[in-house]
Amino acid sequence: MRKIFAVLFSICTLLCTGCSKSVTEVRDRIYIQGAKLGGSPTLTELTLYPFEETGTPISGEGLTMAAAIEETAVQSGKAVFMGHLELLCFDRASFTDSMQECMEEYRLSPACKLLYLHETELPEGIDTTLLTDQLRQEEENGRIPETDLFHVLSECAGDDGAALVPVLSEEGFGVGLLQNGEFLGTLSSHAVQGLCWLRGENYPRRISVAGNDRMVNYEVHSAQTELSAEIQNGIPHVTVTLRLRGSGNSEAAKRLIKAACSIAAEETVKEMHADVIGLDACLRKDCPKYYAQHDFETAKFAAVFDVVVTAS
Amino acid sequence: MNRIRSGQLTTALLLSNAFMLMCMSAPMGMESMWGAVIAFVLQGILCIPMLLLYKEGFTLTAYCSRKHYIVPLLFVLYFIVRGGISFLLLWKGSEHLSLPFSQPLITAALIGAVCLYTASLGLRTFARAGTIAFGFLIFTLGILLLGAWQRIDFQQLYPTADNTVFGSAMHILSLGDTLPALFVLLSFTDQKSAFSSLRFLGLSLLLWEVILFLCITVLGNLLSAAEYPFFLLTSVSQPLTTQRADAFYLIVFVLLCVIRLTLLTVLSAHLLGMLFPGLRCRSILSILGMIGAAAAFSAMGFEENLWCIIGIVLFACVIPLLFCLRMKKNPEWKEEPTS
Repeated sequence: MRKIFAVLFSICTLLCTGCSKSVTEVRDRIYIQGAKLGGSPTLTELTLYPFEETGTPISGEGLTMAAAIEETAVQSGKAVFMGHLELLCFDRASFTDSMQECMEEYRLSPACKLLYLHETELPEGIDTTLLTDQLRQEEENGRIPETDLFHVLSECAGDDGAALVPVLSEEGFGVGLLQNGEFLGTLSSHAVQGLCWLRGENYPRRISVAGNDRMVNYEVHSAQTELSAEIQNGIPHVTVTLRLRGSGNSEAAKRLIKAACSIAAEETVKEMHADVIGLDACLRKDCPKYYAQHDFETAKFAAVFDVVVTAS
Repeated sequence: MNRIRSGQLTTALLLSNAFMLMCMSAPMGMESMWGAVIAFVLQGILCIPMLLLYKEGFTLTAYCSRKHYIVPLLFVLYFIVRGGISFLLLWKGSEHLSLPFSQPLITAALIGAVCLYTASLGLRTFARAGTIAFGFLIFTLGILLLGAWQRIDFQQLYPTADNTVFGSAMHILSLGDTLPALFVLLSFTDQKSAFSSLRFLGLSLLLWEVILFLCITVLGNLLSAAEYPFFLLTSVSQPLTTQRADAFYLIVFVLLCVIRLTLLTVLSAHLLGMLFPGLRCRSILSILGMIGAAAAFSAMGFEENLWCIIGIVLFACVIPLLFCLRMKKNPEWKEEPTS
């Protein structure tokens, strides 16, 4: 009798764990690879691109993100699952305000790539998987700094709320700056190169430098970036130390990298007043007194950058 | 009730401590890392009277057999209260980890059923289960490290204005409710190895430091806005680009909760058994008491506070110290040598 009771109890317990009718089966779910978010602050337009090769994009709109997703679920006839999302395109900078909520609510992957659409639209019938792969290749080859949802969220939560995002425009891929829900602008190609070195997360595997009679490659084997700061005469002096290991004309490579880093610091910190190189963390760590006494805007304005590149 | 080895005791208490770490909701910063060191050193100091007491040969069984009711009943009450708080933490945590069930009562009933079953198998079986759960915890920590590794930023290790070392130490100390459990559990281990049971404090400190380090260096700017830093850490520490590792974190969270609640159930049921040998369904009564306490705390809006520290100091240090002082006058509290 006790055994029968135990078996019945176990079955009842299993029914309560989620393996019951209330749970969505895999075939009743649509898995989203890419998404495009647009519209206005009062109307969210959402286009979802499923993983299936034959899957056609599903569009929906609503007053909120949740309402738009609900609409797409109705259109597709399936529950929408965005936990494996690889690419999120958006053309409204203010979307960054609700990004963390979206990540937690829809369990978006922190490694999901973000792409800001600057004065352009995703063409009809676009292959978002290909677009994601192209973006990844840009990053892997050190052509643009590595970013993802987590990076952007982390930067948005920083002192000045500035974040670096890849941008898709008529000219192709680029990099732009968002700050407190506004798009500040795109960066020059030299600044983008410099940011790769300054942020130190990805870098080019080779740099084209001038040889005796033609352009030659400087092969980069490894690179390490370190930011340090000290106060001299009341002004924060930030030293960016780059340790390179590679083969080729290292002197020319050092000059190119130093110039690119200086342009990057000038364009981002000085011109756009946006910190996307970890200046706030560096000052907080190395100059806590100065950081506590001055507001960050003053610190950005006053900071003097010095780039030291060593090659072996 | 069976006897357990010192290693098994260490594992059970470490897992119980790990659950509290997962559910920690206080602000974190570099000060928390120093705070953790201070909190665990304080816990080590608090343990000294109980270790000396057991070295003298004290046993709870001998004490209870002399018709002393008040202190064991206070311990029962303490374990039920802490069990209630654990249920409350489970309810809050389940919202962040997307458990397949979210209704608090169903959660409590299911976890309670598992705890009852585990408790009915005895302390030795529970201790063995703890060893397996410990293995799973280590495996999950490996996955967490793998996912977090590339996102570690040492620049984030700077002093914060919101935290103090003292405040962090007090908060972490308030979560150290495994010490009263250690006092009761020492009755079931070899008393010669009582001091070696302190290993759990060292291992817990190591676990705390690793998780705090990861939270600070990985979450960076997001840490200040995180309600539950550990859960945010798990959501951003995904070792594969698109495949999610949530299932591991979810399993380990539920497993640790079950281990912790079972430990508290086993201990309170055992103490009730020593006091009232005729009392039946002691584990069920303990679990129901915990669920009731959780419902009451939920209605009251409970938060970890100074009373938690007072409770720990009272049950882990003051009571054992009083026993130590009165031991010479009461040699009958010592364990009878077995023939």
